[in-house]
Amino acid sequence: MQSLEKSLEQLLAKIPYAGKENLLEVDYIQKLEIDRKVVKITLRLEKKPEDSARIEQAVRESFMALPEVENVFFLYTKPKKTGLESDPGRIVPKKVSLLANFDKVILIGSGKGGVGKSTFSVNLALALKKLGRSVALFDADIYGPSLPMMMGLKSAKPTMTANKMNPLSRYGVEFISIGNLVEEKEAVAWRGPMVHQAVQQLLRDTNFSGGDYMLIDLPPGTGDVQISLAQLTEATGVVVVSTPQDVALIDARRAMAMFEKVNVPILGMVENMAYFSCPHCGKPIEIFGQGGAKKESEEQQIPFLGALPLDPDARIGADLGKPVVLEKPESVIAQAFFSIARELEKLVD
Amino acid sequence: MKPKQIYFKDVLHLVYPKEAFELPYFALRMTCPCAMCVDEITGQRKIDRKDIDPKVHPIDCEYVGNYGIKIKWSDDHSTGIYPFDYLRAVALDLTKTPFSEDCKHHHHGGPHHDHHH
Repeated sequence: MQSLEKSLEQLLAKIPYAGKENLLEVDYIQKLEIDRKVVKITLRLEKKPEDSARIEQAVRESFMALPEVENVFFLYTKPKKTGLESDPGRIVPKKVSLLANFDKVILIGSGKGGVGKSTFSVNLALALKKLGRSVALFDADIYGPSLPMMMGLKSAKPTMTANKMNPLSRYGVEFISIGNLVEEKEAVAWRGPMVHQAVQQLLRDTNFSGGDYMLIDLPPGTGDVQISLAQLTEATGVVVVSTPQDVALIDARRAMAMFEKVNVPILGMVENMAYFSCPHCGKPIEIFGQGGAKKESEEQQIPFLGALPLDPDARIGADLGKPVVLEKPESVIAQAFFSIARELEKLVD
Repeated sequence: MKPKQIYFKDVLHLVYPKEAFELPYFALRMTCPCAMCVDEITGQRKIDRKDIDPKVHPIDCEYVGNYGIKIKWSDDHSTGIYPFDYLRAVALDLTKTPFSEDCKHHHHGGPHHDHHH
């Protein structure tokens, strides 16, 4: 036969708190004592007295239904870590995730390379920045880091403070990239465990100031880095960048399946290089076919965040380290970035 | 899905909005999914129950990203990452066929047990 305490806990788990959760889940019960047929229960003091009264009634009714219970007393305490949480025999998993000083950690992924993921990451970061958010960037593309060039700090080296690296900063956005630490040809020959270590060190040993958003530019595909990041951070979610091409979509599907496996929510899809505006007549030309990513996101029931045109200005801006969102904020593509940034904000708030 | 609550007290408790599970430590240690305990290619279990301390218990635990926990066991084993979905599947399995009689007898063992029940 199970103990009375166990039965009472099970009853508490059936009482809803604020509609969604139950009393056991919200750290509401501070203490539960049983003295023969009398139950003494210590509850967290609620801001509204009517809430406490309602819960008290529900708990009393539920406990008194047991033949082992004759009376229930209620005590109240201010919320603090006492009772069940500090039970000495209890082990609670520790949170050890990195980048905890950011409100949201967003991964930017793609199924295959060359879809413009890094250009997207940089411009999205600057769009969010222009909307008034504090943003940082992390280049997780160990094999082909491109943030240093796109942020216009290709040969800059981070300085150190007490064994920690200070991130580089440009346009009001802090960032770090392996590209600023090792020579271009050095990183590509690393194997899995080294990559994991490099990512871990970069994340752990960089003095980011923290803020609203950390955007992480992933390498393409579903490899070691993605898994490392899924293990080391508590990512808010992933944005998948794809071109309308079928191949890119198949790979994007694979990438999404992997993120599902590690419980990183897929926030939405972005279609890059959706069309090219003819410089002569201004008509959109759909080079890679039409609306593939949009259709795919509808099929998979994930939000479609927006379509970006193939714009020479974006490419030139990326090469020169002058992102298009800052250089030509009125352009169609920059406006599309602002719209995607706003969509993203709605999703993660 | 991430459990609403997860903690160790005599057994591993997994609390979901509409269900709750208890996993005995011995069963949990035996089902460690790491490459030292399971052959990565054949999926065959490489540890024998005879080699595992019947009183094995966790001494530390960390979250792994959004999807699981890493357990440090009293026998110094700590390489296993248990995804939440895996834990739930093991728990469901155990409710169907309890792991075995001997783990039932032993899961209340270990220094963390207190007898106030």
